[in-house]
Amino acid sequence: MSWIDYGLRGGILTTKYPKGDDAMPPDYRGEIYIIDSERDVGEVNTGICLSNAITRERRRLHIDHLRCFQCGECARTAPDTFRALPKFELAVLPQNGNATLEALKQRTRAFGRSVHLRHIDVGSDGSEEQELAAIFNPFYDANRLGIFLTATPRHADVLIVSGVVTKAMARPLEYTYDAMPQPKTVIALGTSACSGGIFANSPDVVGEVGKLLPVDVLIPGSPPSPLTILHGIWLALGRALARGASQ
Amino acid sequence: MTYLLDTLGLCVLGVLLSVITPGKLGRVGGFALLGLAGIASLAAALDGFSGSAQSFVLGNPQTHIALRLDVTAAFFIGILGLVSIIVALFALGPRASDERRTGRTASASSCAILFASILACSAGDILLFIFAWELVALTFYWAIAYAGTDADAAPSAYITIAVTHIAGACMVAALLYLAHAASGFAVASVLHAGSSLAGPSAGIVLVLLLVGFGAKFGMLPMQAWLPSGYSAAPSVVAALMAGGALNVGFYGVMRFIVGFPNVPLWLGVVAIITGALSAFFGITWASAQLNMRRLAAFSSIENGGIIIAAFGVAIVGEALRQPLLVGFAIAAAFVQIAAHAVAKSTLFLAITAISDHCGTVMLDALGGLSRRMRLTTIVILLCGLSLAALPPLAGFVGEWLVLEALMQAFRTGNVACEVTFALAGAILGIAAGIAVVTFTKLIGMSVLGAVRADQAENERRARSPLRALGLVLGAFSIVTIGVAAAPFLRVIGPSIDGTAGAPATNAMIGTYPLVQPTFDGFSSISPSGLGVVLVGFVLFFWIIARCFPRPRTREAMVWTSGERYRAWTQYTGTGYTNPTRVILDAAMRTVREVRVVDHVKTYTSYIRPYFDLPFYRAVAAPFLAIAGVVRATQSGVIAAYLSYILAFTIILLILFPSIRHW
Amino acid sequence: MMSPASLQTTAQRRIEAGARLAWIFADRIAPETILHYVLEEEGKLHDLCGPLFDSARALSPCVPAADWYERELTERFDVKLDGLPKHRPLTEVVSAGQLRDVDAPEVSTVLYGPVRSGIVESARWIVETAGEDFIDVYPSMFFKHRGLEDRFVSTPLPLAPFVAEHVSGATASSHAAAFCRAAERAMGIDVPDRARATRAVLVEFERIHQHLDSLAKLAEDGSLSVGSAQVFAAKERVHRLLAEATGNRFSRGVICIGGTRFDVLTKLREVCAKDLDLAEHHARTAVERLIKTQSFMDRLIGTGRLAHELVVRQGGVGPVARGSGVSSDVRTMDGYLYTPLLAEEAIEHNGDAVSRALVRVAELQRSFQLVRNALDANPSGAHAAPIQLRDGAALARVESPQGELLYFVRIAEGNLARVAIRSASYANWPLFVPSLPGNIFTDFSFIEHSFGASQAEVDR
Repeated sequence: MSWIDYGLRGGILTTKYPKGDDAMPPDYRGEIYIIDSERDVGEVNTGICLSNAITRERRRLHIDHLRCFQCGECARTAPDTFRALPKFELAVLPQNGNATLEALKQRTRAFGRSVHLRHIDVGSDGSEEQELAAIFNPFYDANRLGIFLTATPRHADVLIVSGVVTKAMARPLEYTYDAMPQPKTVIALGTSACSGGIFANSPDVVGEVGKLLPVDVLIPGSPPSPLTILHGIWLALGRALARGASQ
Repeated sequence: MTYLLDTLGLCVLGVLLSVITPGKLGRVGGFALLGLAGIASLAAALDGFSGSAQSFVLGNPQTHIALRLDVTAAFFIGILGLVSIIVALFALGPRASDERRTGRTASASSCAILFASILACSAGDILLFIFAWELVALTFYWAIAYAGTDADAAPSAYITIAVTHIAGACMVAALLYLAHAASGFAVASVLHAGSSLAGPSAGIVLVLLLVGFGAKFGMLPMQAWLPSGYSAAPSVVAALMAGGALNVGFYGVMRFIVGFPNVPLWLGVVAIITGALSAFFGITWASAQLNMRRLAAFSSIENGGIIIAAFGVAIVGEALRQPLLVGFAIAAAFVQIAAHAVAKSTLFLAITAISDHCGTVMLDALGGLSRRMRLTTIVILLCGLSLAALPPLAGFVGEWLVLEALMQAFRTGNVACEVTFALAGAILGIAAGIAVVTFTKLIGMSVLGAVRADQAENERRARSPLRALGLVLGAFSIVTIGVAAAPFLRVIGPSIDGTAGAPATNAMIGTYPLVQPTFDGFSSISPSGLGVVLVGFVLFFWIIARCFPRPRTREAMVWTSGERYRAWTQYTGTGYTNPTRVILDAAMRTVREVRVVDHVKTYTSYIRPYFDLPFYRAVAAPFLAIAGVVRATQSGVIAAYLSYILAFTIILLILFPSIRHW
Repeated sequence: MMSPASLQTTAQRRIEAGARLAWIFADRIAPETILHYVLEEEGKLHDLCGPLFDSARALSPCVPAADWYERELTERFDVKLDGLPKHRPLTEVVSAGQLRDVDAPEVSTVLYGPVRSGIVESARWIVETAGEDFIDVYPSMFFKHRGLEDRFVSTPLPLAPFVAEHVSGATASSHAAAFCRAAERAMGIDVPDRARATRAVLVEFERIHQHLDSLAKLAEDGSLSVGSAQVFAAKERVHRLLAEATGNRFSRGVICIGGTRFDVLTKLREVCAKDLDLAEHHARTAVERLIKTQSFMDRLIGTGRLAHELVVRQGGVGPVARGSGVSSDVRTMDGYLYTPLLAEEAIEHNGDAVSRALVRVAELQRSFQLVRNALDANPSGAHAAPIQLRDGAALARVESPQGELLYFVRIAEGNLARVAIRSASYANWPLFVPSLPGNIFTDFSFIEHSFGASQAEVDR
């Protein structure tokens, strides 16, 4: 009883997101924004990005958000060109995939108002797991949105894959995907899962999740915050608005 | 009477044919005759139910070699006949893999066992009874020792003969004492003499009889021989023994203890407590067995316990002169005897089919038989459900009646009885629960799950119409005795009523198809109604499921944490019952050992039942010590023996005058 | 540098005299392979190193703590060690067909992992059982090997701390701090007090959120839903505080070689003045209520017991070691991140899951105090020292939430030539198996969460 009493005295902590608004603190490094992609051409050193997210194409700076692991080094060293915004709705649909939001919505209609997630770690750094677990804490309480965890892929609607796929985890990942019933949705969680991140060309890993499975939603971030994850899951269910990928 | 004589004659013919005819023909002929003998004994049983007691005297009346067929014997002869037919049908199929060479030993010993059992049940005098009794034990010993393929067949045969002889000695002593009192050997006069015995001597005689008969069906503490004997014997013989010859023990209890005049009340209490404990320990130990045949054998100890508890109620009824209670208890015991006989013999046969197919009877090495042995799966499922006393099968009706009998405690008006009945009822209830665990393990680990490695295939033996017929007949009997309990009671009614001396059957099946205790308004069930409802239930859901379109299915690998599925990842029978073993460790005394040899681990775990070999050794120790002392005088030197004779003669001569005075 | 023959002998002699074997690793300076034996004597680290010719003698037959290190050396670095006991491979993922080595049909070999239920990192335990109790358990790990030690090499020095933060994202600051300290020592850079204090604060915050995480998971295992939710909520407050102060919920991207990338301490002081009281209050009350919940504590008492001697012999570190009465807190030893921050050690003696939980509870409360002390001290000065490239090699250690975290950094020609990592979880995992006998399946997750290990930093 004392626990219930204690919990009640704590008051309501839960965010209104995604039905209402929420925000990250102003200094949070969510997404890097190029202030003017044509300025400073030739002056900005693209080598400051460890995961090669910043590229220069035809004299224009370009940033691949799926590669960005939110270190903020570009914004710190070239504050005139880059700025870190406290944005958290970072999840996107894959650009080259054929999944439009409408198609995704059709597919995930079968889940109804209760969606069961199965998580698999294929080579994360351990923080993605903690952030994913955090969406069930009282501040985010994903259960209120009908989002539940399930212990076996047999009961799962959505597979959340965190981390860059290592050689040893490639087969277990395929087995897990295969064990899920149709229809199913795959979410890549974290920068490493979306693009390989700093391991993109590493000889020790297979690469991003998209190399093995048809990914439906990408949630970049290193690690993505719980709000970002909620947005990603909402997007996978076709309920949130999507941005085009990598703009 | 002629049918009875036909039975015996066919059995003798079967033995001779098996022994004389070389090759496969001897075996086939022997079992064919066993089947015919079974049919004849069924006819003899019907004959016995219908009329009054019939006698057949061999030679002149003074030599007392007499056969007697009355209603009590008829029931047991009928059960023996039914079991023999099932076993014979199965055995007429291909030879089981554990029979040596041509398998003629199996057919000869089967015929001999049936002969001896029928003879024991129809013996008109105790000398013939004792002879038949010993013949059962000897034949079984012979079957194990001569034909047993188990590595420890010899020790199993030895302990079998040792325990049955100790028990036999108790029984013979008691019967001869009674014969002495009666100055004659006829069963009727021997029993009549019991009424003139004084309290203590009657008590000793009855306890000796209970121990003697109890050994046959593994009553505590005489149970140790039973599992090893059953698992070492050729499987068909074991089936006949476990389902058939075991009933001679119940016949003995029925005839000589329940039928004893002025049987004391306390004996009933003792029988109920011993029965309840046998049931509890038997099934507890059964749950921990790795070998299917040993598991089935331990389950016989449980059933023996349940039946002896029912007989205990009958004894109490006799002592209190309540014929209706006696009749009800006997009816419960008889139904349970019939249920156990068919279920256990069929189970042993089904196990034989599995062991022939897979080359092993170890539960943990089996799995996934349901897809390869459909008939055996259904049969073993029915046997298991019946032995676990689940409705609407025979075992359920039997155990329900026994528990109902124990609930009649309030009718005894005796505090000791009421407490005993309640206690025994509770213990039997726990035993029934553990029985469900045990048979779930038996069924779940053998026929369900995935196929484990190293299962030898032997398709030839698995597909045999005669074998299938035997199994189907067994399964059919299990279902019939359960669902048609009321008609079954009506068939064996004369036996129950005649034995109890009261019209118990009519009271029990007054409103067809209900079955109820002999006392009105207590409780009642309709096994046939239950059966119909259960089948209807399954059909109902099947039809509902059919009404909806079947969703698209896709076969996928079994989920094992993201790894390819291997059969050795599935739970084992040992693992399944481990919680039971932990909870009941006081009864099981489990020993677990892990050994590592060359980086390969071996694991052994076994239980140490009470009253097992160490117990017998401890009991035997003083006798062995005396024998050791006496042996010192037995030097083997001829001069020594001559001097003993000389000394003895001298002593006799000295004492002669006083001897004459005696 | 020592001669090859005397290297193992000296190491073994000193270990037998009471030194703790902290680490064995190899460093390839072509054409030679240098073996390093890191010992701790009286709170100080000693690095015995020498070249390897052909083969060396394995220490593990006499020194159990050497086992995993030597197995990894033979499997990953082709180092030939004589007398190494035969085992199944440690770092190579064995296919399931080869996993069964028990010859008894009544034993089932349960493959627990790599994909386990719940939100957990991938690792596999091979459990042999004939029922509820464990017959044997093997770790089968390194599913998550991402080649991080190699990823450092050729990474430009200023960006290398980001790689360290990827080793274990949940304890990123500890890894970044340990890496930077090693690199700074190798290059002889003096770090200003202000940066040291900042790093210390970040590492203490990390300890707070990771200890809360471990305790919340324990509460979850005990089906204490409200308790678990409240402790997770307390953890969330710490993440929010860090997000506001450092721009990342795990304070990543702050620590750099020479100090910190920007002046975080001012912002930290500002945010803490506002939010720290509430976060501390929430954490303190939830955790205190947790350890007063008798039904929950009963579940932990006697679970996963580790004897003091066993921990000493195996070289356990962190709360696992301190739960068994083994003093192991790097913070109390000389030359820690920020000297005025010397902490008193929290020690428990029973060695079971309760003791490890109580150590965490005590450390949690002290960490809040240490954070306050460092923030109040507010040392002045620059937030970073400039990097002067210089070749060299050095070891450094930091008390991460899981325990002593060791980094070895060698810089050659202005580039990272070798980075080696000995994480606390790596040192503690060998203790997991001996803690299992006498427990049953349902204790598994309690014991695992009482270890609070991070798989990412084990597999690297």
